[in-house]
Amino acid sequence: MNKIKSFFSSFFKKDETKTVVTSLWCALLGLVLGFVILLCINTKEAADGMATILGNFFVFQNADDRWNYFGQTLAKTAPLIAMSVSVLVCYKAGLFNLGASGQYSIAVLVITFMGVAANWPWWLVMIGAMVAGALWSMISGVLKAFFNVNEVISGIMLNWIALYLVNGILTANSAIWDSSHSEAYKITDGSNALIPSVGLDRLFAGNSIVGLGMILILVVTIVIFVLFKKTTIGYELKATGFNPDAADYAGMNKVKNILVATAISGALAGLAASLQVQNGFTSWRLSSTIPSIGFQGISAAFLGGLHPIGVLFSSYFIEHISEGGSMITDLGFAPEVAGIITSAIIYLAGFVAFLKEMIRKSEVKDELRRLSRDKAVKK
Amino acid sequence: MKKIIVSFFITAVVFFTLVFSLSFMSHSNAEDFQVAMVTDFSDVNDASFNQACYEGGMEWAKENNVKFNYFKPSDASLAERVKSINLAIDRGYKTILCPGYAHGEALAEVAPKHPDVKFIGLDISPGDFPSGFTLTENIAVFNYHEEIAGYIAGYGIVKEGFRRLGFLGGIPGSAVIRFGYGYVQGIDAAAKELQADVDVQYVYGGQFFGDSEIYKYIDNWYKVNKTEVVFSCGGSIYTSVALSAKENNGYMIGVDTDQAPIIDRDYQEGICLTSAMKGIKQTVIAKLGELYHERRWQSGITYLGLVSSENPELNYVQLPMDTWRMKHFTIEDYKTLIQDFLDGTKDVSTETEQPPVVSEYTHVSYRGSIK
Amino acid sequence: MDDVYAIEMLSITKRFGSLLANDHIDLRLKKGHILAVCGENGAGKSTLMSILFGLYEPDSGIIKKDGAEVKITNPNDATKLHIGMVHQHFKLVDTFTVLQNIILGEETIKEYRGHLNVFKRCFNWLNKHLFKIIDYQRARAEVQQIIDQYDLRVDLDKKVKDLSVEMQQKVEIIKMLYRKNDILIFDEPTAVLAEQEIQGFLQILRNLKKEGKSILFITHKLNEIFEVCDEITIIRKGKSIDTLAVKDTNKEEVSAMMVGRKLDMNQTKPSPVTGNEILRVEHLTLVDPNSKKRIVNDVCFNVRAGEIVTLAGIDGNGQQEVVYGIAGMKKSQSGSVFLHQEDISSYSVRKRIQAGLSHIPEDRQKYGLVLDYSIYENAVLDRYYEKSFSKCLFLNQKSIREYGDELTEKYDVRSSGDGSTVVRSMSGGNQQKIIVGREIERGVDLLLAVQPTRGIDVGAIETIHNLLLEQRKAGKAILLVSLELDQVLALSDRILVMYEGEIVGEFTPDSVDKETLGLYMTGAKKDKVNAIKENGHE
Repeated sequence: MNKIKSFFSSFFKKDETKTVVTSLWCALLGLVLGFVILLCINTKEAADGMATILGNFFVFQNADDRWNYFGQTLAKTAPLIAMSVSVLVCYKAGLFNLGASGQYSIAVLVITFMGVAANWPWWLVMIGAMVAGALWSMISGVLKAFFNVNEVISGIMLNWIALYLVNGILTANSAIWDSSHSEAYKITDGSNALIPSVGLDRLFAGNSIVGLGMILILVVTIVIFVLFKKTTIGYELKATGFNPDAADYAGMNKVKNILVATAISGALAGLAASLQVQNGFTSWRLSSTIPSIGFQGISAAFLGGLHPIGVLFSSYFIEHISEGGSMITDLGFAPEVAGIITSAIIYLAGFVAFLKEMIRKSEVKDELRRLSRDKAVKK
Repeated sequence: MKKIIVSFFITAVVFFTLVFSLSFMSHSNAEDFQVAMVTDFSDVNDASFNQACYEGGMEWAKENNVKFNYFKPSDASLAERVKSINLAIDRGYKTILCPGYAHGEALAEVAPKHPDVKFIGLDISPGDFPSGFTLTENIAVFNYHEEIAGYIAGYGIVKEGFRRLGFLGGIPGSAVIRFGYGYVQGIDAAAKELQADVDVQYVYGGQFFGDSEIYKYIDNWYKVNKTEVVFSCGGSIYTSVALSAKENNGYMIGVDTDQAPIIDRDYQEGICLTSAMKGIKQTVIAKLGELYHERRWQSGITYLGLVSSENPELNYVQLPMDTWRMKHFTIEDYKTLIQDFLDGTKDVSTETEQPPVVSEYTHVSYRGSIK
Repeated sequence: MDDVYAIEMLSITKRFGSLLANDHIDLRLKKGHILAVCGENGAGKSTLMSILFGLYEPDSGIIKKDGAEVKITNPNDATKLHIGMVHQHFKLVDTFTVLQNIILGEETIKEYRGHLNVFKRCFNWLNKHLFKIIDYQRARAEVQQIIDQYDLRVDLDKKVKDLSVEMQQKVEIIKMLYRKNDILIFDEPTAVLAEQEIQGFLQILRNLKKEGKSILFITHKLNEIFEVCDEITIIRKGKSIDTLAVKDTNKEEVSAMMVGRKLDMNQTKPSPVTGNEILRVEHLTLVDPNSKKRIVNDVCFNVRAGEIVTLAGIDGNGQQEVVYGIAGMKKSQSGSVFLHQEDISSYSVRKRIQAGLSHIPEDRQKYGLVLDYSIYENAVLDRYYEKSFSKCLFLNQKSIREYGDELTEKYDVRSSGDGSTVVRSMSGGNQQKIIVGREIERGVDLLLAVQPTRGIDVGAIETIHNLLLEQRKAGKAILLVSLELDQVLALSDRILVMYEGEIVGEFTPDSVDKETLGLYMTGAKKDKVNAIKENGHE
């Protein structure tokens, strides 16, 4: 009995528990806020709208559709996971990867050339995308390591450079640019560059974008988890992130660590591109805005408590409600409303740190109260 | 900590119970005839064919007391478009409006699986369907003789007295190209009749929305090239044209719907001389009516064009007569031109592969694509 | 006049946790006088001044101004009482001009002075409460008058970031005068100034005094005190030792009072058995990248096996930087460092560590530990990559844990849990024990120990002293940086006194007393020293 009690008391005190609980609270608060917004806009349909957002694929009456779109949500989660892990890796090393979108864009460019034009095997294309993302990200890394340029600023600028570079290069190549649809040609069925579905599509009612990518990202996430938990590289990166002065004192190579962190992070952003494009889901569309996935990755990373495993869940949650949010237009909500709701939920994720601090304070207060009570009893 | 966890679970349970029980209570039974619309890329307020389609559906549905709603895919991908159509079907909608070429592939995937649902496609050319796909019985596609609309606009503008003209297309799909080549043919016809030299600048924006890059490009036409009128042919790409027209005291031509009111409101009164309109709204109203009242269904691809010169508003391609602003090219001239088409004395090529052949009076500079 | 006190602080006591920072301190500042407040680092001067300026509230004691008791709970109260302070780190807005900085918070609001009475009232009321349009013209005139009166030349239109440190200090002074302060507190104002600039500053102090201002001047530097001050209050270990009139005392007496006459620690240690030279530093020079000042200037010394060499001096005279230069954490401008006769000047930090250097850093939370890491993880902070703790990129968790447990056991590191406890939650003494243990356990021949007992309790201090002496006995070379003279005298075999980046004196503990050390530390005395000692030359 005591054992169970002590298990629980240590469970409640653990930092991880705190992180999980605060993240859950944030998600819940976001949902409540979203519901309130819906109520303000259209009271009659608000509950239905919220149920649709929460239900996503569940609202389909047809079982096949339900599986199909469960699979689609999962498949669309994979790149988001890659993106948030990318943000997380940098964050652990004390850097903030705001340039993930740019790395993603460059990776899409490489995939389009290697996959659509050259029709190389999928794994080679995937590696190519990761290398491209890593190299692009290391531009920020080099600037930071050697010239002490803030990586946030260079990241944002490189986002725009990447965007226009990709726009420019792709539109200029008629072999890969479908000018009548203003998008690059997609990777189609039968292409070598298509990530194999290894039978997973059958599990999800034949949804063709479901495939090996989902398993791959799980593996990669676990690898990153192990990297930080068990390896000297992770040890160094985390030390640098927590306390750069101490890392300096202990003789860790700052330049190397910055480059390693940005490279890993960029490679993961490249992987995100690969998982988004190489299942034939989408291709580069002409755009004058930076791909939003990089920023969603930031939200997912924070909501996931900056923990590789937490990120798996937070990414799914964000994708789930974004998908659900797009399904409420027929209830009399403009698509913008869905956007507002989902961003309200996502941005509440930023409150994780704030909430954690509040919990800590309330704990301290409890402790003080307990102490003063004990004193009173003694007297 | 314990308190926080417990309070979390209580709040969560209360919240979810509330939402789901309320939503369960509000569920109503599906009616037998309801109409849904699935947008293509932009929203239903794009001042272009999504909006026209939505307004048509709304107007008709109100009149006949039928449920009408729209869906917007969460992104531009095929999979999401298919999902939106499937969702509409799942919600019990039996008639679905699909405006825009992007629906070609999506319909090919969905329509064969749902023979009981009717799909009305708008502006989807045969090439937009996957190769080898034969249209099923439940798909009816209505396309327009955009080349005629373009022709009339081009012809009118030259007759009005303008000599330095421009064309800005959106994404060069077949509809946009037909508009453009028709426009060039109309210009050439009028130039020949007047024996006047006309300069035409011709470019595609590569997208259906305006931005600073496109604005700068068009601004250059007005400023350096002394272009007087630009035909803005691609959804909300008109924003870039209207802005530079306003700043350079130029004029423009709208597309799809009568864009004059919105440009008058947002930019400057009188910039938009006319619009090369497609009767999307009319088509939606007419075809829904046929299906609902007469149970008439015409599957396959139909091209809609001119019907009457007496009452040009019945035509599926037309210029707006409510906001007629041209003085030398009058409504009477407009009616005569339509009559010429109906008689067969005037004709326009539907060719989209090669630019039209023009006389020595017309000088067209094809500039490819801005992006 | 002589009996009127501008400020009296009576029996001020302030406690931070277990630390008694001020213990019934008395301080009396006569009107129109300059009172020096001097004492060692951590003696409680800054706390006392912060209390006067309202940054801290005293636990007990009273403050009187002009004979009447006042309550100062925040800096606004102090400002209202016309008490101004120039902090060690200036509180200026870099991107504002000098004039803007001076009037900041006390802006002269435009006033309409015409004859339209109704308009005048409306406008002035609105402007005072709402628009707050600043009357730069009038403000400038007022500031200019102060400048002329006190001879403080500053370009009012320059931005603060373009000014030298000396000029910025002047701006701070004008700021105080603009606020009509009559009690001025200077917290170590000369620490940031070069020699010639100090003379200028002292002249300003004299001018201020002439205009009737009362001044509290915090400093270590005895020369300055004897040049401008009227009285000295000496504080040591949180207590006010004495207040003396400058004309009745001398430097020797003051420095003796500052450092305390009595030796608190009587540790007997065997005489050194010095062996081979382990560390040799030749002409080491470090330049501060911002101020371009030489913080370490041409320093030469060596440390031999089995001896403890101490760099003594008042904080900020370059001792820490010498160690940074040796450890490779700061780049040296010139000079070289030899470890075991090997020139390591061009090595990276890691390579120097591998060459046989261990380092207990000055600031354990900033450098010595990753506070969010566990005891285990911190135990291997500078050796995780060694073969015994990692195998091809993977950390050997088991051996790290074993080693961490061993370390905790041996050095009596106490925490609330086991070795996976996060270091942040531990007390300073225990944190320090981890570092000391970690560095000693590396078993290399050179140990750099910078203030190894800073801010920890007496028990832990003793443990660490004993550990250092054990290391000495084991034939290690130890370079100690300490600000506490008791510690210096108790542990050292050789004492090198640093002042303004230079070694100004070399002593053995039995041939010197604290008074002499105090004179050297405060710059009152200087020798030219080359502290490289060859064996057998003693």
